[in-house]
Amino acid sequence: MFFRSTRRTDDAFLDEAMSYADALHGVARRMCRNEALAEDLVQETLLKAIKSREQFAAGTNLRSWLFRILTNVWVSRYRRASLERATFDAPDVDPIADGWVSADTMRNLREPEELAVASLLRAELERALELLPEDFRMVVLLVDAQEFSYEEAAAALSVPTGTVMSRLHRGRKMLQKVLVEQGRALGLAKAEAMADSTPPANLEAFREKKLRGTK
Amino acid sequence: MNAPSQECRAFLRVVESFIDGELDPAAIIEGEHHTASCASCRERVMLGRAMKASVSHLATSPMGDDARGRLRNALAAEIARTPSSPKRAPRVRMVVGSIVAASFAAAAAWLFAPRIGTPNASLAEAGNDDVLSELVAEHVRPLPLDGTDIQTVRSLEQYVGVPLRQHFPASRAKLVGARILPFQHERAAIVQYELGGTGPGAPRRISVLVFDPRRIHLAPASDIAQQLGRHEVRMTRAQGLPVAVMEDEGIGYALSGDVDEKQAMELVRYVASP
Ligand SMILES: [Zn+2]
Repeated sequence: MFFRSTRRTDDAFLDEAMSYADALHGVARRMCRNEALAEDLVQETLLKAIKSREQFAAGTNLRSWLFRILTNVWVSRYRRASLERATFDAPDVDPIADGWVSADTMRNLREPEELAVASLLRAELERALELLPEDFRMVVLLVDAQEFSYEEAAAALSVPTGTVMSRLHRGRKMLQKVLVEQGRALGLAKAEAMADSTPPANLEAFREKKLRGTK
Repeated sequence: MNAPSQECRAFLRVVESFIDGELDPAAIIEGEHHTASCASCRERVMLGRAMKASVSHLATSPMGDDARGRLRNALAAEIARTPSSPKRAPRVRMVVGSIVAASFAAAAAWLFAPRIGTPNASLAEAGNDDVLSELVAEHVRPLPLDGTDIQTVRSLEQYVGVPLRQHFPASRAKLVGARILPFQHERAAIVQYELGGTGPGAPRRISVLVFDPRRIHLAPASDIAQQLGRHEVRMTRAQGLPVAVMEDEGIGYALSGDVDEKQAMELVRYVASP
């Protein structure tokens, strides 16, 4: 009897864990060089989850827990050398400007009239995502594809929320830069960039404001 | 070309948090108020949302059916190996089983210390008898197979890294099928057979673990081995069943089943290439 109920709990856990396999794979596939590595990463993640399933507090967010395991496995095993990290996590002394582009250009980038152009831009974005430094890419994927909050992403990666925000900002800036450049090449954007720069708001002030707002 | 106003600058400082839904309600209302009257910032928000959607789309890649099947099998195997506590009855039984097996092994001086030995430290943590007890656990309680005909069985070679084939003549044992058995980063294949015959316990079954010995290392702690032609066969036990371990032409084999040592020795003869 006990055995049966244990078995049922285990089976339910297996089913629920498997229901996140595609989501985990989507992120893994963008983080790993090839499909085999991505599958290994997903398998290792879920095996770890199964092995420590008794530590998982029922009723809490399984998806969030699984992604935390995935990012841990990835950081400890799959992430490449840390050279690029050291470079890109340096203080934001020269923030990539929120390059000013016209509303028309942005509209053209967002919904080009021609289908061929749309698919060109999509392909360009895909390439840009691939070229993003891994730490930036992971944050962009967690927040944009998995809709993690900044705090969830920070917990998953064991970094401060401010680091999540700055990686996200810079990662997106890089994607946008590639997109705007491509838009120019395709005649969708005019050479209208201006030098004004709007770095992200002071993070402390932001947190404080947010805190005040929620009280 | 208009330079962004003070108001625009203030909004653009928090535009990403606005898009990500990270602002407090008061700031959201402020942001909505601004974008309602500022086409430029409105477009900035829409472009941001469109890019978010594109990234999300790029990160949508469901697993293939094969990969999903292998994954499920691996997870089910792990669950079978370590059923949940506090109702740990099945696990306790397994532990007792291995104590019995261990003392038997010691008494019989078939002392063996199989381990996964590679330079990768993460593999070493798999533990000493993991490979052979997984083989026997898998034999005793087989999981769904990845393939049941020889073609599909052969197609599993790509995951194992060594050739797979039918190891016995049809007259001696019938192929049941095979599945991939993951050990941390490495993979082996388990090929299952049924022996002919009738009577109690029939059909008796045989499981052959096929692995790349460069990746999964079953290192003997003693030199007790039996010579079989030009091959050295090491006989051990795991959870009460005999296991014959052998290497042939760069392929590792571990054979176990519903047989005694003598029969295991006789069967492993077929596995070796002529
Ligand atoms: Zn504005």
